[in-house]
Parts: sequence; structure tokens; C-alpha cells
Amino acid sequence: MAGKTLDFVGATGRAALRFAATVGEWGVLMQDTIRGLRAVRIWGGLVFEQMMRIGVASVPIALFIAAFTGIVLALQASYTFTGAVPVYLVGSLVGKTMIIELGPVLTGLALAGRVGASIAAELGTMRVTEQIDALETMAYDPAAYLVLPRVLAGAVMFPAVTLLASTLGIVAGWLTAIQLLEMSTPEFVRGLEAFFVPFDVVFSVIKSFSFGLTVTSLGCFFGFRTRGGAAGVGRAATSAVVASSMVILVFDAFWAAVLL
Amino acid sequence: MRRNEVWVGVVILLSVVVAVAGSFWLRGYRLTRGTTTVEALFSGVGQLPDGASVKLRGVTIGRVNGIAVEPDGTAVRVGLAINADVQLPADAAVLIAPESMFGDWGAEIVSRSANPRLDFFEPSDPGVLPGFSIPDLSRLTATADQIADNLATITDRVEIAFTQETAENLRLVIENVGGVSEQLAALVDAQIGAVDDLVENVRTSTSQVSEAAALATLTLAEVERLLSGGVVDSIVGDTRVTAAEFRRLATDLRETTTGLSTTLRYADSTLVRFERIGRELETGEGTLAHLLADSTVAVQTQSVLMQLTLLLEDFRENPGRYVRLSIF
Repeated sequence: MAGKTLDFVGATGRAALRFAATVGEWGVLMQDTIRGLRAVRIWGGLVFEQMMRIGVASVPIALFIAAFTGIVLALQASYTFTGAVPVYLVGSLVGKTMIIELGPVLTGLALAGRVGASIAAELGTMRVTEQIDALETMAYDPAAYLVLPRVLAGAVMFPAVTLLASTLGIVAGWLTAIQLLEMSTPEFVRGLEAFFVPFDVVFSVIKSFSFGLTVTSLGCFFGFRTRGGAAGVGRAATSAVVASSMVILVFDAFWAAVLL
Repeated sequence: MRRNEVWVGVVILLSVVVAVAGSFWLRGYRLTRGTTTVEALFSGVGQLPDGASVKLRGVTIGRVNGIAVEPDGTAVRVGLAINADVQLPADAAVLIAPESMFGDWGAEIVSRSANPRLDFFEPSDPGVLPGFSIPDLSRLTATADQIADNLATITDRVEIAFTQETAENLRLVIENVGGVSEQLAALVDAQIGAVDDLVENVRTSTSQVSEAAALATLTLAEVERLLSGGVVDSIVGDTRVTAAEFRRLATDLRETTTGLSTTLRYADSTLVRFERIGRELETGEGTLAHLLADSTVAVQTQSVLMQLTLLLEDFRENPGRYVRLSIF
């Protein structure tokens, strides 16, 4: 009994140390990435390409998710708001929820699956095929060449994609309200305006910016530490998605606690 | 590479435009109409957020544009960006109130004279509108809590004051009230009978008055008819003649009365004489008494009267024997 307890405590300690070591390795990578900012010659020409792959290419899936989220929000709001609750609050709920919560979070989660896994798999493949080692051998800063363009692209494009997704979600909610819920446009707009403050947009941008940094940096990190061939690449992609999703949700709560 | 840059630029610019334009639109800013800013002072603004709607007669005409506490801390200055083409009331004031029970507060520009009961904040600057904030539900609830606490305190004090003696006094008071109530009931019953009689009398009087009124109406109609026919004039003339006759008759009667008085005096004097004669007759004094008392005198008198009659007959038959007329 005492031996099993000791084993459990030991396992917990090992997990904590492993987590701390992982965070430390991520920190070192981020330090190298920040240091690579000086090598504009290396990453400058790669950022737009990464923006295209991370941001522009993700717009359709982000808009698809946001549109149906807006529809569902409007329908569920009308289902919930009965009796004394005025119907214009459907607009309030759709607008507020899409801007400050579901727009950034769902876009972040969707792009964590698409972008994070893609980056981890790409860099993991480069790692197991020793391409990253070759870059280091050629005195090419892999952080500046591989990580920095992706992180910058994620940091810039996540907010842009999120804003578009939130807007389309609100439009989808409005169309649902006037077509399926017998609401008028003025009613929906009244609810939309009632609780809107410009800080909601700023809050959404801050959240999605942090999500972009998280997804791309963790994708790069797990890709960089890939071991064990093709299976390791798969594990790296999975780890990147899982870790990115968890951190997104943690950041979601963090920003809500700090900024709201 | 060039194509990538374009697409990235499109996505970024589009998102920025959507965010900025959407924010301005949701805050009520419109490019098509100009705005002007007016300020109002309040003692408090409740939960009014910056950007809340400003309405006039229920129509949104602008947005709240800035909320700041005055430097001396005695008031809150609120900026209102309203459409420049809207004409405000001459005695405009600003009322802040919840637009629903869900926390969406708004400002409404009202006519101060139409809301005399509201205690608007009085700004010293005539260019600043007076403002009043209606207490929100939480403040009303807090006030209700305070009232409930006060009631609880009063209840406690009443409980302390309500002793056995108080209860006994209260019982006596209730009994007295019961007695008074019974007396009042009896009085009311009696009064009801009197009132019934009064009502009956009034009803009868009313009926009689109605009949009298009807009769008066008929009389008036008759009078009117008579007036219109000239009969009254005739009656008045006859009455005037009759009155003159009466006056003359009264004069005659007065004179007759005067004559009657004289006659009565004469009669009285005659009766006195008759009384004296009667007394003399009783006492046997006087000629008449002698005539009555002495039959000889009566016989002689009768003989004298007879001779006198014979003398008169002879004088009538032979006047020359007693009278001689000679003219020359």
C-alpha cells in the first residue's frame, strides 16, 4: 500500500517535472524566436506565405463554423427567451456572444486543429528527416526561418479571421432571426446595439491574437521536438492540437478574468 | 508571392474595415447626418454606459458621448451627441432611465414642464441641460429592504409594548366599540324610520307641489288668456266703480252711525224720562199718576175730551161762529 502511494507521488512528481521541462523548452524556443526578429532577411520573405497558408486558407472553415454558430445561437436564444424576456435580446445574445466569446474561441479551436496540426506535422517531418539539423549545420537560424514567420502570421491573421468570422456569425444570426423567428431587423439591431461597447472588439482582437501566438508557437514547438519517425510526427501533430486547444481555453478564462 | 500578398491584404483590410465600421454603426454613428453635442448635469447616472442611446419622444436621435464626474465631485457631466437637425424643446431636460429590466439604460430628452415632479439637477451654466436619473431596480430594492428593516423594528417595539394590561385594555375598548356599534345600529334603525317618513312626506309634498304647479300652470294660462282678451281691464274698471260705491256706502254708514248715536242719546234721555215717569207713577206723584190713581179725574178728563171733540166738530161745521174774517 505504501509502495503504491509512493509510486503515485513519484509519478505525479515526474509529470510535473516533465511539464516544467516542456514549458522551459517552449520558453527557450520562444527566446530563440524573439532573438530571430533581428534576422529580417531570413523571415521577411516568408511571412506573407505563412499568412496565406495560416490565415487566408483558413477563412472558409472559420466562416463556415461561425455561420452555423450564429444560426444556432439565434435559434437557441429564441427557444430560451420566452415569456417576460423581450425578443430583441436575441440580437444582444448573438452579437455579444459572437464578438467576445464564440468568434475567437471557435475560430481558435478550428485553426488549432487545422493550422496547429499542419505546422507540427510539417516541422516534425523536417525534424525527423533532419532538415532542421541541416539548417543548423548551415548556420541558418531555424527559429527565425521556420518559427518566426509562422508565429507572426498566426498573430496577425488569427484576429483578422476571427473578426470576419464573428461578423458572419452575427449576419447569420440576423438572417435566422428575420427568416425563421419572426423578428424584425430593427428589433435585432436594437438588441445588437443595446449592450455593444467598442471594447468588445478590442477584447476579441486581444484574445484571438493570443490564440494565434499559442497555436502557432505550440505547433512549431511540438514539431521541433518530434522524435521517432512517422509515428512521432503523428504524435507531435496530436500533441500540438491538444495542447493548443487546452491553452486556448485557459487563455479564454484568463482574459475574461483579467479584462472584463 | 504577389498573389499571396494580395489575398492577405484583402483579408486583413476587410477584417479591419468590418470591425471599425461595425463598431461605429453599432454605436449609432452615421456618416449621412451631422451631429451636435449638448451637455447635461446629473447628481448620478445609474448604470448609463458611454454610447447609450439618446431619445426624443421615443425616437433615437443620438448617443451618449462621454461621462465624467465634475472636478468638485458634486455632479456628473454627460455629453450627448445628437442629430444636428433635431430641434430640442425650449425647456429641455435629460432623463436617464432603464429601457428594460435587463440593464440597458438610455437617456431621453424631455420637456421639463411636463415632468414637474422630477428633481432635476440645476446647472449653473444655462447652456447645460438639467438632468435626472431614475433610481434603478436595485436601488428600489435596497430602499424596500430598508423599509422592511424599519417595519421589523416597529414590530419589535409593538411586541414589547403589547403587554397583558394592554391586551385587557384593548379588550375593553373592543367591547365598548361593540356597545357603541349596537347603539349606532339602533339609532340608525330609528333614523331609517324617520327618514322613511320624511321621504314619504317629501314624496307627498312633491306630488302636491306637482299638482300645484300644474294648477298654477293652468291658472297662468287662464290669466294669460284673460289678459289677452281684455277681460281683466273690464274687471279692474268694475272693481274701481265698486270700490267707489263702497267708499260712499262707508261714508253713509258713518253718518248713519253718527245719527244712530244721537238717536241712542235721545233714546237714553227718553228712557230716563220714562223711568222718572214710572217712578212718579209708582209713587203716585204727577198728573198721570193722579189720573191713574183717581178715577174721577179720568172721568172728568174723558168728559173734557168729549166736549172738546164736539167743539171741534161744531167748529168744522160752523166756523163762522167762531172766526170772523174782515179784509176791509
